[in-house]
Amino acid sequence: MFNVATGGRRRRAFCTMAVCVAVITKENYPLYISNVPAANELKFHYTVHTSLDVVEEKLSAVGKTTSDLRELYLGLLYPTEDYKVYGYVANTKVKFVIVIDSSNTSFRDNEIRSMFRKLHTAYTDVMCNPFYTPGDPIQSKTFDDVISSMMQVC
Amino acid sequence: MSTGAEERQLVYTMENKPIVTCAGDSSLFSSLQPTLVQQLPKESVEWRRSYGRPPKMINLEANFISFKEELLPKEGSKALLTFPFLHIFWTDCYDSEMYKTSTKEEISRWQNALRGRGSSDWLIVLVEVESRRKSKPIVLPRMAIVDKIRNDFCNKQNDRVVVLNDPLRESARAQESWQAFLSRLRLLLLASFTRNLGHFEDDMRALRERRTNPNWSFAHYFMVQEELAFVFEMLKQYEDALVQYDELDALFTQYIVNHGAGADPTEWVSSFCHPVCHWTGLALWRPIDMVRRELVQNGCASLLDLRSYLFSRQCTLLLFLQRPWEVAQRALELLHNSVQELHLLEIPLPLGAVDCWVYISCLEVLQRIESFCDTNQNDMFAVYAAGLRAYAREKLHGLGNLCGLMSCKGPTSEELNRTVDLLAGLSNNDTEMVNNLNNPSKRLREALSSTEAFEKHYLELSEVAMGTYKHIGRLRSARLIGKELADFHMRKCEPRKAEGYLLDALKTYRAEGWSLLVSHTRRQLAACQSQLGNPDSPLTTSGVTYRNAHLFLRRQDSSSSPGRTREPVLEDTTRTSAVCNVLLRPGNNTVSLPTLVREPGLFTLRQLCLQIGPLQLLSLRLQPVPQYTVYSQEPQLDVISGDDLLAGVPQELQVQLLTGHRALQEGEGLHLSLPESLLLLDSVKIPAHVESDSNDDIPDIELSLELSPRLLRVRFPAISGYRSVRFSLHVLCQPPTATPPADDLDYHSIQDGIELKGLVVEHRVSIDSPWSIYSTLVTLAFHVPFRVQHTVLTAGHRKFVQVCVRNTCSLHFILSRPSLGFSMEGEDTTLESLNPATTTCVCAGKNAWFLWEINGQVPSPVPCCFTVAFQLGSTTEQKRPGTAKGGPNEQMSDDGEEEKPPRHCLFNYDFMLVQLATLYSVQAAVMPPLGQEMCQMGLLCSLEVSITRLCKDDPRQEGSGSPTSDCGEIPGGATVQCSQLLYKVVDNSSNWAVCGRSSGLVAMPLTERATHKLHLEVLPLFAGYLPLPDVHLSKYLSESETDEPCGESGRTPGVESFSTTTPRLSQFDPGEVYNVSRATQVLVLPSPDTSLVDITVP
Repeated sequence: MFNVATGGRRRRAFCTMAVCVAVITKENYPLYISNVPAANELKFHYTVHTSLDVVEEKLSAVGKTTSDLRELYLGLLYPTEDYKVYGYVANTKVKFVIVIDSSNTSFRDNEIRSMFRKLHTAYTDVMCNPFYTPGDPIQSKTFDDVISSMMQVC
Repeated sequence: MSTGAEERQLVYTMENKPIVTCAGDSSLFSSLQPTLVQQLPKESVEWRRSYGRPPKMINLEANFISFKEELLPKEGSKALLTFPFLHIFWTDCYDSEMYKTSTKEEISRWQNALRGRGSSDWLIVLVEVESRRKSKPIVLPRMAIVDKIRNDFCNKQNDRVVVLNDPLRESARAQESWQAFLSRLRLLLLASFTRNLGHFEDDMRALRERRTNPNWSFAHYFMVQEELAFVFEMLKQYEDALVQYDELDALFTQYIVNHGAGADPTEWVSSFCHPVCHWTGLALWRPIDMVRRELVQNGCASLLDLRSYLFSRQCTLLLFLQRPWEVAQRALELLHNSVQELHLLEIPLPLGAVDCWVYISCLEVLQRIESFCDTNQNDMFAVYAAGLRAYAREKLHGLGNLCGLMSCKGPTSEELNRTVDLLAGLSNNDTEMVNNLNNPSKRLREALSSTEAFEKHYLELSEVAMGTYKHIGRLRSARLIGKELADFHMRKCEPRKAEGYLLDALKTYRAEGWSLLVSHTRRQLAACQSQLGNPDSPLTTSGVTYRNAHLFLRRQDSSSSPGRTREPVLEDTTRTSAVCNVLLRPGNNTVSLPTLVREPGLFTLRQLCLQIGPLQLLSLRLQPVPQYTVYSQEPQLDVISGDDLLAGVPQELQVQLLTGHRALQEGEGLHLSLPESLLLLDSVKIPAHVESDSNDDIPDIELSLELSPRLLRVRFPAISGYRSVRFSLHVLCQPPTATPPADDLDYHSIQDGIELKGLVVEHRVSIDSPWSIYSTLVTLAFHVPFRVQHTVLTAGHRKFVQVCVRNTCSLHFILSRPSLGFSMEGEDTTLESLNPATTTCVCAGKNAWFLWEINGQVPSPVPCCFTVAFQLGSTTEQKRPGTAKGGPNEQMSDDGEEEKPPRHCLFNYDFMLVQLATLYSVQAAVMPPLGQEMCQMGLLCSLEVSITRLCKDDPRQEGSGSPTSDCGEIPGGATVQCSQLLYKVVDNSSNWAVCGRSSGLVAMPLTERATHKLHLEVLPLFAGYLPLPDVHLSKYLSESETDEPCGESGRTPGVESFSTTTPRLSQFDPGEVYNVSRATQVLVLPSPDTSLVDITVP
């Protein structure tokens, strides 16, 4: 609506990417949760777990309306004062949750989508590994690297 | 822009309408004003908008006030609310003189005043009162005044003068002129809106573009754009009004973001960075919060003031638009965003002030929406309401923490000071607000006043928030609140109240396998239970239990399976099975766990629990899942007959009995009631084969049969449950005595409980069993193996009966001893059999033929009966059961040719024989042309036909209803009885061309051997042996003849009935005309080829 000139100079950068990334199985138990800072682990676990409420709500709402291909990206699940929680559900009902710091106002929806796609690809790679037993917690350095690239501070 | 008290007053009420000034004759206008105000909004008009906005239908209203020069906007004024959109001059001048002397002057002055302020929106109304005009002589035509006004003032703007006819009267003319006036007024008003608002918007945009100027004032711009919003609101265009606020919102938000991001520091943004000293939250109950508006206008508003004011306006408009849920949705976004903005601008705030602001705001929004509609009724709200309630609860929790209201010791002095600081920011001078009992700010102050009050508020709010979450199905969110409540109770040293919430939460986390949350909750629970003084309990929840070893069985359909569990958890089960005192030896031990299951279902073994002394070991869920099915089967009886049971041939019926859960006692058995025509071929003992699901070898048993007439008792020895007993019964179904006509497949008859459908005989066998009071009905369908057809053949006088037996099944049969006889005795007519004495084998799908000659005349029609004995052919010997011996009721033929006599069955076929005497014989011959020995293709040949009468009188004349006799003239003069015949020579195979007459009438005398010869010419079209052309004879009934059955009238000469039926033809019945030369062929030579063939030899 308004294009307020920003001058392109930013003194403070709010480009922290995701603060928490989680992979949750069809049965709703976590396969992988990573977050920064690590001290807030418990809080993020609660946040991600609670977000499953909204994921289920959105999935059941989709099921009611159309039977055709559902969009995997669920969008903003719910905002809290500190975080914005986004969701994505693969066709196998494996859920991906990304938490963004609310103070990060420069985020665009497209960037979140591409992060989810990246995450999905990385997850698919993990599943393709013959030494990985589906359903086990993900312990993969490659996957860790992808996740930490999403969570690095730029 | 107009300022101060005047505008404030205007804005406050929002009862505004667009202003229209009225000049001229004020008394005239006053008389019309009520009608005008009432009529104007009655019809809506389409408002076409600038900037590509969609057109809208709008009902116009106006506030008509007396014209004063002060009302005209001053130069540069931006006020819109007080802007007069239209100026009307009213006059009822009817007199030209009066117009010249005063009215013209008045209008002129009025116009100058308007022009001076650049106002071009005006209208002159000339009211024309009929009565007044009539009272005085008309000096000038009425139109003259209008024309004068147009001339004098409306330079090319003729639509600016309107004549209103007799407006106070109730007449069609008055109505019409009112409507014309009103629509003109509406159009002019709209045009004025479009123009003036357009100017305003252009100015506003220009102002916005200047926002980078250092002295640009957001407050000023805010007021300008809000003025536009007010006008839209005044015009009831709430959507447009909302857009103005949304634009302001977006502009402001973007500035804050830029400011926070370190873009050019804008001075005015800094004004919002001042410390906030009031955090009274949103106030949504008044359409316009004038206190905050003034703060914004004067540039002294804090960030929270601006946000509160902006949102209250958006809320008001959204409620006008009937979108309360959007208020709730936007509220949550606003609150989150505002909190972020406070951080972003680094606005100094006392600890907890934000919490107060958010808490009050949440409750305010909820109250506002609830006053609008019931949030619990509408699920759409419930989602947002739940979010707001949870957010308010979270904030209250934080406040309780800060102010020491959650510990059982009470607040410290530092915490008390903090409370006092927070309460200071909640002080409110707004008396109206204070008087509102349910005022959220008041509730917050109350909650912060004491630990007891806080507890009451906090528990109440938490319960409602949890309830809402549960209502919309967000159980995890509800559990999280439950955990916070547990935390609260723990702080209040009430572990008993906390335990339940923690257990609930633990159950959820465990079921979904969130280990970190499980261990965290468990730790809390352990702390809780240790406070409860039960040192053992913590272990209970840790998954180790002191109980007996258990094997858990659960029906799979009894509950939805919880998620994958990552650690041993004692599962809820419906069944357990246990063994005690098991002695374990080194190595593998096999322990069997007995269990008695009383209901059918699929049972899954979930978990093993092993107890050794005080130690209990619990397994994970067993993988792969061992399971077993328990079922209970009712006894079941089936009669397995092959697809094609044949009547007249011994057939085997397989009976299968599944005993199911009911074991059979010795002597129990089945009772079969058999129809009479179904014969049992078995003897008193039959073997039966027994099977069971397990592969145990069970010896065959023997069943005893007892047969009383039409009832068969099958007795079983003792048989245990879940066995399958199979035995065979051999039956013979007698073919039906009345075979349906061969061509009637839909034939249907029921005789003695036997149903005959086409060629299928259906027998119903009912079986009574000891385990059920109901009989099992089995329908057995036996196919009749033959289809029979008969024909009567003629050779001159002689008549023959031919019977064709068609074998319709896939087996071979041997037919013997065919016989044909009349059902009636005492006739001297005999049937002479022309059949060989040997047996006839008829293969599957083939026919057998039998022939008899009829000697002597028979009355026609006469019932006949064809009988043939049949037995299975030798090739299908294996089909016959070898064990079959002569049963007690067996019907057998008695020709004992073999040691083991083959079973003969008789097949009957009853039919009506219709035999007619031959009346005429027709003989035809083709003669070669004269001089030729043979017929030749292309040469005319003669066809000689001779028709001979074979019998003296026509036995069918009487009662047959087809008189054929006539009185014909025979050359020679004598009148003889004649019958007229029509002959017709046709050649259906196009071998012959009949030349000349092909048909004609023949009068035949009714004397035996009377002959009539015909001579016709035919042309053979092909060479070779050609069948002769057909000669058809039919009876010709002339006009005078009647159709009456009294055939005598036709035969008596001179006696004629004079009915007027048209001549018609009647066909002879088959057998009445004998064609002697049927199937005769004649040799036709090819025509000599006379064409030339040129052969060129190179």
